[in-house]
Amino acid sequence: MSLSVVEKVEKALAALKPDHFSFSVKDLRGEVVRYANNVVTQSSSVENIQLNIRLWAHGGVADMTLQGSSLGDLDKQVQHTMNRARAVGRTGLGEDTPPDASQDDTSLDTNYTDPVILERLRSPGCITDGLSQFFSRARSDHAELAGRLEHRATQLFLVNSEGLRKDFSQTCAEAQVIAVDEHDDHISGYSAGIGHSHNHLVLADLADRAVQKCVRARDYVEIDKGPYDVILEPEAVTEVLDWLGSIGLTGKSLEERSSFMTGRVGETVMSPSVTLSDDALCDHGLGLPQPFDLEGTPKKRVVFVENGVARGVAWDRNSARRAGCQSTGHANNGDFAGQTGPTVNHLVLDGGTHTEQELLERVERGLWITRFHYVNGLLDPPKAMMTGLTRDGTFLIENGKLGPSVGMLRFTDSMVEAFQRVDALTREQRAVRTGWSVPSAAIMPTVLIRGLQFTGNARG
Amino acid sequence: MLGLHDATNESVMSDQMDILSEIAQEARRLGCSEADLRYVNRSVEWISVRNGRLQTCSDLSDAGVGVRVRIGLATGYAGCAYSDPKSLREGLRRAVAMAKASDGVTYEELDLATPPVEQGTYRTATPGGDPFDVPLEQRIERLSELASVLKTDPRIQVANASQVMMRRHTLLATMHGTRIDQTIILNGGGMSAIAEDNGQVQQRSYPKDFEGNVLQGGEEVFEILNLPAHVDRIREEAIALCHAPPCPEMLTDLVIDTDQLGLQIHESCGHPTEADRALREELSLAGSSFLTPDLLTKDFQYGSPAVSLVADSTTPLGPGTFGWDDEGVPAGQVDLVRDGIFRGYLTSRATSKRLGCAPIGACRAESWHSEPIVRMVNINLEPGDGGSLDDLISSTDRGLLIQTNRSWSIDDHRLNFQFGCEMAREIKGGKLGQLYRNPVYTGITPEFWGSCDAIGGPQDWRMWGWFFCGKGDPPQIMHVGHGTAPARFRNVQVRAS
Repeated sequence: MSLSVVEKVEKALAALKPDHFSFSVKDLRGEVVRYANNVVTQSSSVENIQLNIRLWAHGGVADMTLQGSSLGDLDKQVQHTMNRARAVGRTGLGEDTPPDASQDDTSLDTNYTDPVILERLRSPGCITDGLSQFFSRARSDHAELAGRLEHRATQLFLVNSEGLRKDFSQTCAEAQVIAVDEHDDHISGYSAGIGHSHNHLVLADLADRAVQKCVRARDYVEIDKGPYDVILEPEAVTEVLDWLGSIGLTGKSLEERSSFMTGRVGETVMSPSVTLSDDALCDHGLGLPQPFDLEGTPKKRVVFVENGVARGVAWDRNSARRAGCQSTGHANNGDFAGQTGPTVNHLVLDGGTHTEQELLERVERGLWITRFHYVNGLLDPPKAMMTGLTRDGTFLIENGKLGPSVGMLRFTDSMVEAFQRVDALTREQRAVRTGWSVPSAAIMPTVLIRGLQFTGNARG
Repeated sequence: MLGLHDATNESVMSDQMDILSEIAQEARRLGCSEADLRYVNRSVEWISVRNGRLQTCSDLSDAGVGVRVRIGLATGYAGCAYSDPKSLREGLRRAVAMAKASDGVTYEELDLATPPVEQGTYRTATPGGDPFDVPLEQRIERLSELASVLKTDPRIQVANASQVMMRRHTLLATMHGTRIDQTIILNGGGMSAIAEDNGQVQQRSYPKDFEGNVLQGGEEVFEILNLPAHVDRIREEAIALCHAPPCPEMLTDLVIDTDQLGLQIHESCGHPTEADRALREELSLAGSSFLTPDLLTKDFQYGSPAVSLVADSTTPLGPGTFGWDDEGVPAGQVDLVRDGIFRGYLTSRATSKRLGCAPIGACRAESWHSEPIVRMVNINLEPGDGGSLDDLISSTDRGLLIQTNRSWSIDDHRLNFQFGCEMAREIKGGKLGQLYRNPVYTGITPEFWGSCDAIGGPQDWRMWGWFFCGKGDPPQIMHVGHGTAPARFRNVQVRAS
């Protein structure tokens, strides 16, 4: 299907002769099962095709996204986009960096598909197989499971007027499991997994882990606000660093002087144990690899912070041209409508040398945090001031041992300052889902941070 | 004219409706007790001008059909990228397969009543003209002029003006005879200025940040927004904020202007009254709700007697206004909170059945590829007798006026919230005084609404639209509205971020 669309778009463009063009065609098949209260609540199968096209004509540039049967009248839609580009040209405000073809890197792997997932997608509904036994197991622990299980396969073709032609295939398996006490949904546990192979997901393990946390959380105490040493699981680390990526690790935030990096590249900004990068090639074997961005630029590993020292940010072609540097392959991936500029989608925080048990033993009194909810990083972006709440498994640590669960807590702290107080990281890392509508994954260890500020709890 | 909207051609659409109805009927032969086919053709245009250049000029055109079936107690859904009969029959088979796969692992007690049969059309009134008919150049130049005036002071680092508009055409045909044809048009925009001075970076926006204010209507929406009248003010306020002290930490009275109170309603009333959250069906992403079903019969005190909140899918200009929801349930008005007492939920057909009440018509989907779920419509705070914003200020002895959201965060049960705003002004003896930067206020939902002692009157009641309310898993976005007047809250915790 995708190839025939590529040919039709090329034919339509050949008739119109824009100054330049680039387009991508994405073919998507997916199945999603949502469950809650130990039953399936939604069961969906979606097939979609999406064309993103950018045309340069008469000094203007315009973008168009077509989905589904909107692709049925391609000639008319491409003409419409051409008219828009001309209209932009007449305003004199169009500014864009035309595509080039000198970005090919044939060494990149472009097939990250798992035949097992592809086969399952050919048999609608088999994604629900085995769910009932996990529900039964949860029931026996007086818990209820909620969450989502998803399989998807995408195929992407990228073409531009300067001769670039690339394609890329990927499968994705993702699961999220929340176990809640059957009588009190304040008592809960969580686990999740994501990867391009079904081997990355063992649903039974995820369900067990979530239920065990839920059971442990039944022993409960209230604690006061204030600073606590915290051990953050990879999901919690991802929540805050993903926000840091959007407010402080791109060329756009540097250009707008809203990044904590502004004027500080080369300075020590975090603990020496922190090395934070974006690495879409996933040489570590985890996550969702991506060989190039939607502008066709091969993905490069970008080191943001190396041993605590600020090193640089991610760029797309436009922002890089304005700053006089090269794109790092971080063009917007179309995750969120209206979003523009470079984006960071494959964060990697290097692991340390410890185990989770060793991290625990380093804490005299503190908190074990499974994940955060509703983090917001817009309080004061130059300081990377963020707030957010704990959920689904927060436990008191006393004298190096995991104790009872604690109620919901709100943190409000500068994440740059918090990562200056990183004490230790685990060797082991996990892939954690990021992205809104386009799934991606961050690779994170478990992290011990000293003195995170908690400013609220269930009482206020 | 640059628009491409052939989908609204009546004869083509009549044919399409017939095809949808025919396939829905065929679902009987596959053992379905219900089937609905929902054709969606959606166009979204987004343009923004930033520092003298066109930053965004994007156009989304999205069309397809969602097929939802019910077999026994199970439902299945399939999104079909193509709307010809062959593709739809294939989609129907996929939906049936998905339903059968969940049979035996779904609710056992959920036997829905016969669905309503509705027929009719709804179309947004656009007295000022269809915004898609306004030439692109003209719309870009309008934004460019705004951004240029914002940027006239060198301390303004970023000047941004944007417009977003959407046309969504939906045909819904069900096995039981529903035939609904709806076209909803949204239009709106806004502007923001980021100043750097005195070692500070500060932003002011109008009408609010992100998408601005997006309302249901045509080109007249830009007349209502009247952006040029506010350009000089927000530029000067952004610069002034760079010289303002941080908001002091204290317990004080807050007069909250409508550009922030709309989001407060959204997060602390809209989301917790979603029935699927209350029934613990949205735990995987959004969370649940402190408004548990048992509270419906206990006269739970959600707020002070001054507070009445209504789900209203008929409010003029409201982005959550329609003729029918995506299950074919007619629009209407339902109390969520009346005189401070919790009274009702936002429901779909399935969640209303589980709660033992009538569906209110709040089941909506972003597009054809998304299954309809419980969503907000327009969640409105009814006006009170507090007069105008000026009246609220002059009747406040000591407190803060707080305006324009900057950050938002609330827990997964929707109790503990924290909002950051762009600016605050001291109120002393009924008069506005010192400007403060980085104000943050925090509270617990029922205590906060319980502290509301005055709500402004109809003269300052205003509709606010959100284009990007996120919910569901995989996530969907939805356009929702919140009508509100400014209001006063006693003894709220504030500080600087």
